[in-house]
Amino acid sequence: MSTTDPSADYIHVPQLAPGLQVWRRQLLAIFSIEFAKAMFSRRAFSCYALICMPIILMVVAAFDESRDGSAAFSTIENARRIFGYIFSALIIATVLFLGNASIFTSLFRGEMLDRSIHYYMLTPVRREVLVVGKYLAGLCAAIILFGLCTLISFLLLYVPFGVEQFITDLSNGIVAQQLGLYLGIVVLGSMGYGAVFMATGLLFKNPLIPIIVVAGWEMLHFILPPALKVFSIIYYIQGLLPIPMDQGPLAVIAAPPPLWVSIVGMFGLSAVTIAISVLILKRLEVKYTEE
Amino acid sequence: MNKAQTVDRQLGDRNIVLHDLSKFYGDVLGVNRIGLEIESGITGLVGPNGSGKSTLMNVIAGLIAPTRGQLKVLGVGPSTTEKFFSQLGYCTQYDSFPAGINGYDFICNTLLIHGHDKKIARKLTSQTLEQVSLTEAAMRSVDSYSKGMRQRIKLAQAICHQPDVLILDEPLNGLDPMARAQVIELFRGFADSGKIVLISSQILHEVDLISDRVVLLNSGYLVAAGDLTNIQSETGEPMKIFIRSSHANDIAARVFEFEDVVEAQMHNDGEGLFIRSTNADAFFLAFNSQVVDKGWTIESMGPADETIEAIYQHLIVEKQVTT
Repeated sequence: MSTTDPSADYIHVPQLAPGLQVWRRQLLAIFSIEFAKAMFSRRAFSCYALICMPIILMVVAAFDESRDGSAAFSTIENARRIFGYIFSALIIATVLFLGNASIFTSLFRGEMLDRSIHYYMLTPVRREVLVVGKYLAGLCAAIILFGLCTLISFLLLYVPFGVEQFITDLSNGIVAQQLGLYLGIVVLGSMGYGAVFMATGLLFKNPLIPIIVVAGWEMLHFILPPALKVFSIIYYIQGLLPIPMDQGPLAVIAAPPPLWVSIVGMFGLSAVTIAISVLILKRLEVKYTEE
Repeated sequence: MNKAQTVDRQLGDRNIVLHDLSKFYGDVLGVNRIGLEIESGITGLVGPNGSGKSTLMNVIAGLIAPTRGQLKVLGVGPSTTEKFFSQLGYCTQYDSFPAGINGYDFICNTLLIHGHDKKIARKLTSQTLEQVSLTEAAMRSVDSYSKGMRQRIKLAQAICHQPDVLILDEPLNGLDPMARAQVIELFRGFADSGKIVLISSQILHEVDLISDRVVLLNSGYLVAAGDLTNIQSETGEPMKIFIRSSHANDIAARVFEFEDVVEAQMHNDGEGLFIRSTNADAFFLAFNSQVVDKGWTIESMGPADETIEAIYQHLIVEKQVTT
């Protein structure tokens, strides 16, 4: 072990003047660290398990060759409708919701639980940069994981109908239109749920209870009056579904918001929630004894 | 602003300044009304368990906010995040790390988050790992490190950006004697280059060896601060002085002629004498003239209780027993 002897080879730390260049480097560093954690750490296993569920279901449906002609994917229209149900009931309500809850609540709460958040808090990084870096890392991971899940599941519906059907749908724009909307829902849903769950992870010692509350609110949104529907994320993303789902006899029907409202709504929600998270983080005290 | 205020301000800009600082956890007292100025050099923070050492360090490091009072580190408060944390390194007592990380990435990531470019970050990482003798183990997961290695990688994380203020909470824990000596040498190097090093430790004789000054805390209150001689004289207790001389018997026979001497005790070997004086300065002055008059040979003479252990014993342990 040597002292700080300033020998010829000794490298002195260069002075860093806070500004755009430093913030960009810090943002990139935080992004790459957090992205790797979200994609490849032990915490990511639950997300991998979740994305396997619709894929397995689609594989089972695609290779169902019932002899009585009642195969799940008997026609391409039927296959698209079944995928629409799977997307709505399984991918949005389960994979997207729980997956984002897992990724985004871990961003801060996970580090508080494994007692390593102080390493971030001791660095000269603006709390705004820290929150945005973590959020973007979580968002990219979510979009890749759940987007890939959607893409694979969508492509599987063409298995019984062959490449010809896929090329036909591709050439007449059905694939681009439907897949684009499904992936758009994944992006907007991840933005909205991600922002909410990141703030939840900062605010609550045990985020499980708020996650259940949010889940309940989202599940019940179809019976909410239109004035309250606007406070649920699913209201903004479900309107984008290429094949609208029947919400049952108890549903209070409200006109879905236009596309631009959905996009601006999710961007707005993300911005507000990130701003709240920054304020919480600035007041955060590292006291692990309370965790 | 007059000249004296300007000088005070300039000193404050080079020191850690705590003004009437308190921290409460709900109703529980962490530290109360601490007023303190910590200069460059090594300052030892000493106190029993629960005395508020870690709370004080966490407040100074900006990890927790004071309930009341002010804190400035080199003239900057914790709300000025970028400046405050770029000049401060903190080796905490928490023995935890990001899951699955190896030693190299742990340091390199820290430097990247500081805002250094990759090339500089890599060079600084290698240099810092060499400083703490972890170059060979750099690519191993920190989870597989021994306690001493984990302590050293935490130390590396605290010093990798070459801060001007180094705060170390029990940094010698888990280190073998060789590593302790090396780490202490590292701290001394920092202090000698004009930096502030604040160390808390339960190992009093080590704090004693390395500290230029000490801060004593008890039950959240500041008991004493300063260099050991000043603290000792401010305690008002008779100072224990050891005199080694071949004339120890003669000295013992005459020592009570000094008004300020209240106790004398021969050393086991008969060639030394412990005395207690209520006024050490007066004693040394009067004793010197006696030495010349009587022709005594003095091998050595000096305070025998000017150690943290002695002061700790007097200011904390004895007071607790009395209470």
